[in-house]
Amino acid sequence: MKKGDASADVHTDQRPPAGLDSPRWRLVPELHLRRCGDQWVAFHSGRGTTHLVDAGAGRVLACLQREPGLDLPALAARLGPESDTPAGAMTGWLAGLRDSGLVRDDA
Amino acid sequence: MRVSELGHAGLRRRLSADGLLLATGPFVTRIRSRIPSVAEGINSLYPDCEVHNADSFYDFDCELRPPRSLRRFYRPQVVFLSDQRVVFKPLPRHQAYPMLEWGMNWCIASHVQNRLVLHAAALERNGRALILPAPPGSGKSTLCAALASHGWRLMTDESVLVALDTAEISGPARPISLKNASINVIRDFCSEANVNTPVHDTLKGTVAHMRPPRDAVERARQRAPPAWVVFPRFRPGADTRLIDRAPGEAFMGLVANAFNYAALGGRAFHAIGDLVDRTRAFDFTYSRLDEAMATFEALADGRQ
Amino acid sequence: MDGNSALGLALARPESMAERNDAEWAAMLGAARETSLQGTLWHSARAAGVLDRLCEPVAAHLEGAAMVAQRRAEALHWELEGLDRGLLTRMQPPVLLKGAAYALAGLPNAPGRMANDIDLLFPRAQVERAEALLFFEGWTGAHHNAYDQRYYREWMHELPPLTHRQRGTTLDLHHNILPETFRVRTDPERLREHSVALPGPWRFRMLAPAHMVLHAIVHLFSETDWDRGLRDLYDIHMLAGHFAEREGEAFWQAFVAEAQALELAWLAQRALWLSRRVLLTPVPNAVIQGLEQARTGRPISPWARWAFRHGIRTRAASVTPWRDATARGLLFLRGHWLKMPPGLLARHLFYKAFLAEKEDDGDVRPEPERHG
Repeated sequence: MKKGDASADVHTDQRPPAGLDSPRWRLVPELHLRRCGDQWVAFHSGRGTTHLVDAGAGRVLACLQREPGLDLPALAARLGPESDTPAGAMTGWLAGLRDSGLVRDDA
Repeated sequence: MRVSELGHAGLRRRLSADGLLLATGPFVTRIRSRIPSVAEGINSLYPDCEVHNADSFYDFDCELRPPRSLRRFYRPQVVFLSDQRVVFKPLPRHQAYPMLEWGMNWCIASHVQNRLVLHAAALERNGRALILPAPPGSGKSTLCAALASHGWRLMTDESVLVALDTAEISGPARPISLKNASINVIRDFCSEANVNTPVHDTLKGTVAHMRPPRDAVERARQRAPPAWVVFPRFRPGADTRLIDRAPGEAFMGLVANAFNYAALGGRAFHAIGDLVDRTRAFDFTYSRLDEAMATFEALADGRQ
Repeated sequence: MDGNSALGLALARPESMAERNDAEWAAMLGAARETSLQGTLWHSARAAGVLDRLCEPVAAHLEGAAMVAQRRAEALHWELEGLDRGLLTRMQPPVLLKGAAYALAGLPNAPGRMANDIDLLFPRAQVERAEALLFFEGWTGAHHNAYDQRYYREWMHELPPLTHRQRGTTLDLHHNILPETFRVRTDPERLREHSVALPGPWRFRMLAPAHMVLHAIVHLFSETDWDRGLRDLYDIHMLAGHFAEREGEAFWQAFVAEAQALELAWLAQRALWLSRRVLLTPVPNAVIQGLEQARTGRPISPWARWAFRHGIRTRAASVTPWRDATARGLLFLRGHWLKMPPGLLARHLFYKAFLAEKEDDGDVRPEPERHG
């Protein structure tokens, strides 16, 4: 195993392996993001697609833009106080955003 | 020099020789054609436009002529060429004039790349621009023609230009395209409107064009910051209703009506974002033009 | 100066753009639009320091085209990243050809160039496996009929083009740079053997300098359609100039040797003659002589010179439209003649004329009434 190969190092770390129960999330690097009133709009410069994102999922995007690499509990902690977001909804948003190709996890 | 100063003979001479260099707002189009209805159309619809000398720059090169096929001997047709290349399928010869207008629109939609180009009308009042994006059948042009005759400065009926850095609005201030029933509606509603002779049996039905007001032509190079984005919808018998549209929905509506959004990518995304940030957006349903005028009057005065 | 000459001079000597008057610019802009060279002009005007001496509308058109080209390159880059990391990793790295390679290698003809398609070169025996793998990533062939399938798979140097189902990007899988039925047969093994790695982290490879220039030459001088010929000629001009500057004499020696080895000396003669004439490409006389004396060298006939000279001109700025159209017609026939032996050619043209479905006449013609 090569030294400095970050993705390989994660598994030898003390922490639980990423991706099993708590993947870390980040925006895909191609993403342009803007707030538009209560909603958000996103542009994927690779695919050339434009997405209208509702307030809840949009806050997740904005949070990941500020702090890339948050996992679900950390995201919930960031967003929890301002919106009593059930963890289930958050998981749904993340899955939807991942399926649209706007975010990705480290898993 | 203006088109009206050329005289009809002078206009035809230019059109059939090196071309007429016609200035409309920020663009100059070189037009060549020997077809009489083309000269007549330009003469009646562009009298106030500046004509440039043959040795000046032009943005677009247009020609209307019969196709070079045997068909021309038994069924007169016309083709539109941009940069010496046939762009559309041929049309019957009597539709040459509307074909010029459509072709000039196509040039802007296809060749302008340094600004965002929206399929929309725009008008200015008190230094602020109103944008009317146009889904088909929206009645945008009727509304635009009525506003252009009721205190708003026509910027464009068809192609709104948005500066990528400042989101400022401009347009070529060319004739407004009217079709079918709206031709008479505008003749009745706007007593001073100059509408040219209608052309029948086009794929859109009967079409005619309204001459842009002289003031609009003279001020066509003045840009204006955007203030309102209104998505119009004409419905027979409907009550006049102006309701707020969420900015995100306005954003997506503008994306759907942008000609070069995909070509410009992220730049167009942010230009539309800047536009939405600076404007209030509405959905507007109407059937009665007098009420519509009052609504827009109130909007301009900040009473909406 | 007419628009075609002005455009040729602008590409050859970018500083000449500062001397053009308004009427010349109008004609030149139409020519540049037709050949997708507006973005290239913007970049070369900037590099030559003459951008601020262009009139405002000209600079605006050129800048707009450069922005569109940049956007295209950005999307292409992303598409290539996906391919480079995807299922193709199960195979030997392919050689990236043409525009995509110019862009990833940062070659001087890339800025402002409108790169449309992705072209990959695989060994003949593996090209269909690549096609099968790419299917799972959304790349499918347009539904070609049996004749078209046979045309591509038996006679051509590439498979029927693939298109991405969602994004519409086109991808061509090549196993050679010339059709199987072409007058001479080039050895694709030699191209792959000499291919060089692209700068990391890419897995893709690209052609060696001499091969890259020869491929650009083949691309134009074996074609039936010279519509964007000037853009292709500019590729040849810039690539040859760049490699000659970087590698000196060694590049030209390799070029002549490889032209000979790939049986392409005669095409290279024609390309360099035209490139010197239209774009003032500096080519040492020893290179011209080397190609003439090569086993596959052949004198250029006066009619061919005439046809190349006129066929390379754009329609938009043509001052001799009938002659240019005649030249394009001759080049069309020449391209077919080179591509197929006479019997096969007759069969192909017969099929295209009488049996093929007439979907359209080749050009996309938008509906005029959509614009008004």
